[in-house]
Amino acid sequence: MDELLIKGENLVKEYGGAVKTRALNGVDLKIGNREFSCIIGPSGCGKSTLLNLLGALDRPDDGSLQFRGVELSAMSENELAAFRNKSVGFVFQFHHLLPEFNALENVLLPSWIESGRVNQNRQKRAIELLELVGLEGKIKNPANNLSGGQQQRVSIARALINSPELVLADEPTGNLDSESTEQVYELLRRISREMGTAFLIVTHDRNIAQKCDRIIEMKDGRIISD
Amino acid sequence: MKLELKIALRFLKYGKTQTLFILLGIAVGVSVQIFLSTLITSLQESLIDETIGNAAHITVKSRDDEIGRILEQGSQELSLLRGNRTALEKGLINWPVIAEELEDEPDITAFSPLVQGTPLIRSSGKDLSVQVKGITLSNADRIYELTSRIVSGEAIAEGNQILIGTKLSENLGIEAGGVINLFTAQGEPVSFLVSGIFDLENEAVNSTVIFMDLNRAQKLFQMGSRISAIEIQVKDPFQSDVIAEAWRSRIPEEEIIDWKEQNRQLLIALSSQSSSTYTIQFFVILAVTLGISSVLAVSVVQKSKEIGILKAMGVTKGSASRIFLLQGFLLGAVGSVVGTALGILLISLFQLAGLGAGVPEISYRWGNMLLIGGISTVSGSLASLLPARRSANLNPMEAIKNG
Ligand SMILES: Nc1ncnc2c1ncn2[C@@H]1O[C@H](COP(=O)(O)OP(=O)(O)OP(=O)(O)O)[C@@H](O)[C@H]1O
Ligand SMILES: [Mg+2]
Repeated sequence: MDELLIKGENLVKEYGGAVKTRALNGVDLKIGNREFSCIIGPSGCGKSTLLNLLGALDRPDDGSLQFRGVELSAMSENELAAFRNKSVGFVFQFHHLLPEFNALENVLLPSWIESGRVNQNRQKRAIELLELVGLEGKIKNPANNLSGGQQQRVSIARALINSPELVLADEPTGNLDSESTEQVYELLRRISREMGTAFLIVTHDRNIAQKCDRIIEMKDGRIISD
Repeated sequence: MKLELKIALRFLKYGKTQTLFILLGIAVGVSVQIFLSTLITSLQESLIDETIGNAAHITVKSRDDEIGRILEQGSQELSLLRGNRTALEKGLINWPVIAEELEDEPDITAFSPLVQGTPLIRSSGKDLSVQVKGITLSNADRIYELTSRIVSGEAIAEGNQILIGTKLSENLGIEAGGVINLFTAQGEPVSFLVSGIFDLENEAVNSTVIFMDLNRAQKLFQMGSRISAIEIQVKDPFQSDVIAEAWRSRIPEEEIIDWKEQNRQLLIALSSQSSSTYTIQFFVILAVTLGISSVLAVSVVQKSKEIGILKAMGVTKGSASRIFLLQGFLLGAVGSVVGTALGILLISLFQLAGLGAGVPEISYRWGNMLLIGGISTVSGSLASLLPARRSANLNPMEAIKNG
């Protein structure tokens, strides 16, 4: 078996004040190197919540979460920020590019955050990534001037710029047509194969899920099949 | 810091209209402050300059009624009691001693012994009262700058040669080289030769004052070796009350008058004018600060999605807050620079339009402008503290969840 990337045990997350909603109710999950996995499940079952915990956007209320053997809850705010910057990449359901920057700059943002300055190698890599996602002609376009599918592909390139070991994608094709959806998944698979990046993708599309190495099914804050 | 600056600049550039409006607001605030404070300080400076520029800051006079002193001493000077000598009943006898002490005083930049009298000039049938100041030119120059203010003739005040003002020269129709007859209460008219005409840029002085040699004036007014007063200028005119007070205890027998005491009303008016300027400035700064603060607070809400994304990509809390601190700083700094330029422009226009007739000369206080700009920049940064904190504490999930 591949090396272990993430190990979550008995993850619990509650929302709300007086009336608490258990978004996650004791989730155990292991994700290995280079894995290409999907999470499926009905709306409100806790898929996004789980992804946010894995990506250190939020902290669990209970349970333990380790990345390469390091407990995330023991990290400081700044260490978590560095973890988000270098070790994981996010692709969100809604594209979430910064409209103030052009396509290339959006892709470069995580590398700027990491090093604080423009780096020639990263610049080259960003252009390569944009070519890889088929946007060679749109490099200098302002983020707002791109179509939904193009923005989605820019955000995939952005998730990959710092060569993370894990990419978390929350319904990355949620508002794309089926043909574009197909293209994006092909792209993610190819990247996973070529770069050895692990992917964990939330999707509603069973057809897409069938093509993943592993399907994790959730319901009511628990994993019901894996 | 570089990345934060880059993002801050992009945020400001992206919200162009908003940025321009708040910049304009800051610039107007700064320019109003600069305009106001420059105008007021120039006005005050010229008022003070008019009051003390070419006048004594401190005057030492005899306190005692001369008659009383003579009676006390019971000396042969009793004879002086006879006759009409009211103008001469005061006088400093021991002035050379005082002068010697003044010489050693570091705070005192100039002093000039003075004999004063008010003779009459008969001109085309009318009597004109003038004020004779008996001085030694070298001493008086250090207070009145007489020599450099001679507009015609020569700066000579020796023997029977005297200096008169431009206005008096005009009124009497006497040029340099002309002759003036002075009538004193003591006796016959005495003729003097006008050697030069001065312009001390003060209407009253130019029309009534005559400068004459000290010894000649002593003789004219029959004062013997006495003088009327010692006029003193000090390094810092605003310290004159303190210096005068020290001298009062050193020579309690003489009367010491300082200009601040004599111009108390003027100084009170000036200081209340200054405090109302400060009050206006304070509220302008407050308004500017609140403006920046509210614009940035709105901006944090508008940009919450962007901040969330940036945090998800690894931007730290500190960076997230610095992005807004920098925006506040940049707005304050750029607004101050533009505002300073605008303020100077306003002053120039004000002068061009001739509205500043009452202000003879605008003196730009660069230090003061720097201070106003600095305070506005600091206020801009302070105004961004709260928005910056909100940005730091923004939960990235909240922003990302809502598309
Ligand atoms: N910020 C929040 N505050 C309160 N409750 C929340 C919050 N976020 C999520 N929840 C609740 O937690 C549960 C799980 O939400 P989650 O977003 O993880 O679902 P999901 O599986 O991603 O659903 P969907 O497929 O619709 O995106 C839901 O019942 C939701 O109402
Ligand atoms: Mg979701």
